[in-house]
Amino acid sequence: MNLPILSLITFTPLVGALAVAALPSRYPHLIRRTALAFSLLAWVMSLVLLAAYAFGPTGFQFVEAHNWIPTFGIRYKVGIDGLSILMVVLTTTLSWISILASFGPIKDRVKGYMISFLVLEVGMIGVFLALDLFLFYIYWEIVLVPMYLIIGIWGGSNRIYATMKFVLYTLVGSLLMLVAILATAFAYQVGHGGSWVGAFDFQLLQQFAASGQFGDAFQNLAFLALFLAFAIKVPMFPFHTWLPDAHTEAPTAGSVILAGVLLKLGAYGLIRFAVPLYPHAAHTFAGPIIVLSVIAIVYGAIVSIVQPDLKRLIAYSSVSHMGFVTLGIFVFSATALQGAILQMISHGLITGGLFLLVGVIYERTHDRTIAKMGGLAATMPVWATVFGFFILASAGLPGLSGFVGEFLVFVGSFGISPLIAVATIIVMVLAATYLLWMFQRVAFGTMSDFLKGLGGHLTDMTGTEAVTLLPLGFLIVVLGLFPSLVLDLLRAPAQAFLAAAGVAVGG
Amino acid sequence: MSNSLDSYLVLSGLLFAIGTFGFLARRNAISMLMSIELMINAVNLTVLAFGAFVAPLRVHAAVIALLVIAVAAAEATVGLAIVIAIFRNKKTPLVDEYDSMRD
Amino acid sequence: MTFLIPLIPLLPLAGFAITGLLGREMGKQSHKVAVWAVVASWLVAMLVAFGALSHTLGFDAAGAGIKLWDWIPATGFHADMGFFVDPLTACLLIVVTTIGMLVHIYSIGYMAHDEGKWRFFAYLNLFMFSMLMLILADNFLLVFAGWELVGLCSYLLIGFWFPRRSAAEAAKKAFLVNRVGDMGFALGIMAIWTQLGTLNMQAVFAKFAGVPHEWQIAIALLILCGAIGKSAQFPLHVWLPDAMEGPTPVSALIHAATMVNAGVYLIARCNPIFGTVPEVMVIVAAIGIFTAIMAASIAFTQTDIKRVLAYSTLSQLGYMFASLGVGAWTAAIFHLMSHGFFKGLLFLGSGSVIHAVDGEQDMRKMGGLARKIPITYVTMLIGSVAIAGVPPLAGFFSKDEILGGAFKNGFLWVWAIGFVVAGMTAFYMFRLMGMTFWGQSRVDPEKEHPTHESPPTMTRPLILLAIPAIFLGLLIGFPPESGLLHQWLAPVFEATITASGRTEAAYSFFGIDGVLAIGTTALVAVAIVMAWRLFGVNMPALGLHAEPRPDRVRELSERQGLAELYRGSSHKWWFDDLNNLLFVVWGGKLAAAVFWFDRTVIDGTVNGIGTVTTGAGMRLRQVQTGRVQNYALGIALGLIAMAVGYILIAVR
Repeated sequence: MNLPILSLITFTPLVGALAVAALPSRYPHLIRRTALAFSLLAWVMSLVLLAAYAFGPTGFQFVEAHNWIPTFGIRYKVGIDGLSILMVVLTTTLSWISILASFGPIKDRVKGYMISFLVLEVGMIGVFLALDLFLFYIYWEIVLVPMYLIIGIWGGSNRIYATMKFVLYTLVGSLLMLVAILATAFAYQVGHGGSWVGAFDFQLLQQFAASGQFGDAFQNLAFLALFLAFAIKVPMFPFHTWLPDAHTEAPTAGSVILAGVLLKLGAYGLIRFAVPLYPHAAHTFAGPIIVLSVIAIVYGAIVSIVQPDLKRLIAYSSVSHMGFVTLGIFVFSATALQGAILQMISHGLITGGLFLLVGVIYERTHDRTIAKMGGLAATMPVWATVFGFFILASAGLPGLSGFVGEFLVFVGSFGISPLIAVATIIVMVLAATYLLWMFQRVAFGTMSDFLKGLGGHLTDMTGTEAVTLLPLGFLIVVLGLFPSLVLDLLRAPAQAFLAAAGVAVGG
Repeated sequence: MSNSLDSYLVLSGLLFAIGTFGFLARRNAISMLMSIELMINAVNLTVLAFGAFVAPLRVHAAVIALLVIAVAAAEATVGLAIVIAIFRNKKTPLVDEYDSMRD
Repeated sequence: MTFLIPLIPLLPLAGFAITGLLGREMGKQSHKVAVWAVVASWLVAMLVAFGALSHTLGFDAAGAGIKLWDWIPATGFHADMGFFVDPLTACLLIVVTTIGMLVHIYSIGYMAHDEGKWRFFAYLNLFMFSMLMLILADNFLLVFAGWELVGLCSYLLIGFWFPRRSAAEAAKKAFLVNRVGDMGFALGIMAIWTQLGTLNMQAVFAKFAGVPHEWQIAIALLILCGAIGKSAQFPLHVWLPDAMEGPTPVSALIHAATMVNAGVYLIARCNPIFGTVPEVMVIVAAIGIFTAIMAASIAFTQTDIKRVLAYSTLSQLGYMFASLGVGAWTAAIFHLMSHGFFKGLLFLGSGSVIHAVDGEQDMRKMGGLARKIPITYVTMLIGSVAIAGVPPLAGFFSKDEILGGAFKNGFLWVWAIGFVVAGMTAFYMFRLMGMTFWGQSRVDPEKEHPTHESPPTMTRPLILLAIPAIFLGLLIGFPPESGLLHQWLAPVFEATITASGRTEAAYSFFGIDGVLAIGTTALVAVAIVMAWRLFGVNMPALGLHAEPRPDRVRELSERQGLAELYRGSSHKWWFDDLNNLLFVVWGGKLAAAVFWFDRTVIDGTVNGIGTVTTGAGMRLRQVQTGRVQNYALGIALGLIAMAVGYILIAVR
């Protein structure tokens, strides 16, 4: 079968964006449905891809390669392994959910919004598929623009500050990344007697790296540049302060995608590129990075406790949860890495769901201040129940997906050094503290005066809102009970990662 | 000295300096345009002088000089038109009042 | 018959799902599915327990298990979804499913008028599922999953009346304090995996002797940490009294009879681990016996009927821990079972009392209820006699075995404190009985009139629970130290006891055992009489009558030397205040300080870079005057500079 399915998936949303662009803006319903249709199509195709994917073997599948800028050996090369296919499915799933969730809240400039969202989806899928560093960079930057527009145009009151911070922060990172990519390609070209052929090809570069031909000093510099780009995106402590602002100002669906997929781009970059290309440097800096991750986990949780705003609280909790991902990557243990990737997915599902649920409340109250809420369990019982479910998932309740990911990271780190696990385990209590306290203030107690003032506007979740949350909740339970669905896919990538990092695979 | 390249170059240098001074010192837009013309012509004189004294450059010099004259004419036309347009807007020929480029 | 095991937890889970999804529509019938699910689960559990205890139906002495699927099959980590039943599990199954079923039935009446009845039954079913998973799990991670889930159910049920602020606070507190213990348990599981490469309990126990001793100690301590949290032992005991904010059936089921026993169960289950580390066993015994006397001392002065029972639960759990710590494993499980029944009975009885006086929980506003609610009175009296340790009721046998075990295993200090606590228990229980049922009525006049006996769905479970409270000891604990229970549990604990070298001498009533038993009974009798004389008694059948003497009580509580103790007891020894200061006040300040750091230092740096950049831009833009001539001057100066430079270089 020579169907270029990867390119089809990537560009389906682009076709959708063009289709939406061709529609007159006076039919917002038609525009919404067209956008949803194309994102659903991409989702179905990604599921087909998942079904067609061959478990087991290491390496990339469905690889497509075409010359693009032959002068510099730049090619359009895409392919998937167990890691990227999971990320693609996560992206397509969250994309249609986000688009559906925007039906109600977005009333102005629907056309522009939907186009932005579909283009965003193209960029995100592309990042996960690209096997050419230049192509990767292009997709990476494509992601930035629509997100900039989504927050900057459809965001909250302080949106300009938030977008500027988001864009500048990310740009600093991505420019460093560009430098690192160019330097790497140049080093490869020099190593091959001035021939640019394959200088941006990830697989060839990795073979080159595996043969130890990148010098140590070069590795350190290039790794740091790349790491900074990805660490900002994750975001790792202390580069995290753009996240609360961006989340607070973004529209609901923007927050969902931001938390669900954009943060994963950074972690994906670390796993796919930063470590395998510069293994020596990765080991050199692993210690400090682990320390930063541990700080992020505990620090994010502590700061979450005192947040007055629902979205800010969830944003800081993301810092804490994503700390597990970077920790899992840099302890170089197959168990922890699988846990980290599982954590990426479950964080996408759980935090995405939490933002959707906060969106439901915001839609009715136009406020997110925790202190103004109270007693919602009585007024909106269905909402409160679902919110409670996602809160518990976020707190790492066993049987739900968050627990498996975090526990695997814990076990993997414990095997490397019990100290890491001991320093981090306090988050079990801290996470429960900030989440339950928040839940208690929002849902329990008697109804606040602010909410009473809203009267009949405070209706329970609508059918559409429930539809957006149902698949997330379903996946959280399924992955919590049968994490093997994901772990089986990750066995080969984990081994490849550790082999590239030069660590013997245990057990 | 009377018929040497140097004297032409000194002359055109002087003319160019006068033009430059005029462009920098005069406040009236029209005078500034005239100063520009003076500078262009100073350069043109240099070109022609080189053409006259350096044999291989003779043909080129004439062509360049003609081109410069044409361009100068066009420039003067466009420049004057712009100046008049600005004058209509700002009601003044004095360039130090024209500072909207600052913002 | 091992294929039946998964049904035991799955039936309540199905009940939870159905009730949770459709309960709202079922209205008055919303309890039906939940109750039948638990009854069915009870039937299956009885069958399985019978098989496991009689070593028939496919079970042998070591038990039998069933693996459902690979739960977490990661590279370098593995945990199954599987169940295992041995005699210890079977004992727990009997307690959990029987009391669970009775509490479900009781709740039909108790919650009949509550709007959220369907929610209540859904939660109860979820709890049954979690608790059963906890005791049936064949590996530590699954135990941990059940462990956390029962904590969740406890959270949901304590906070069941969520509009009440105190209920929501208590629910959160219970969950958080439990999580503190769970941290230790989780670390323990990681340590077990790293040291042994398996989490399957049977495999871990088989290989545990090969672990380095310092790791053995660490693992035992970490597991103990979890057990302390769940069983509310000092210093993590603070959540249990507050947990009484939940509906009374919840207090009976979760906070007396089942969930709080999970810690005892876990340590008993891990007896091969604890058996290798005698130093940790001493800690277990010390924590247990300290909790026992501390909680009993607090129970002296509490006035809320449920809180007295809650502190009593703490105290009895302390007994169980002490029993585990001294190596009297079977006695601990024995006490767990008998305590489950009579404390469940007492809590349900107190619920019936509260129901009768229209929600009043303060014993100072009760009194003289014996005639008005006779069934509740009689059953609660049986429960009190049982917990006080009057022969031949259940509590006597189990408590006697614990004290005897402590004495004979050489833990004289444990025995001594336990002996005192036995007297204290009898005293505060009869204080409760006196204040509630005897003497003059102090009920609010408005509530006086409708005081009535509870409906049959509530009284029948009381009667059914009173039966084991009377006979359980005789049935499975007699003759002492060689009764049925000892035969059942011998395969579980034999190896550990043999390894510890503490094979006890046979029970001899005409030796030390008899002396201990008679001594304890005498103390209990004295304590009961003291309680009668202070708080009254009225049992015409036995010809007993005494009026309560509140003046004497007040005088005693103000007497020099006793006043300080009284104050400490009534303030619960200030543990709540200490925790409030440490975690709420200082913890809150720490969090605020960290947030300040985040905003000012980290975000400040980022914004600082931004400010510097824009500031520099603002300065630099002054250069742009907008005047053509300034720019031209720049060009001219530049040209001149270039020309000069060129000349200088050319000259050189």
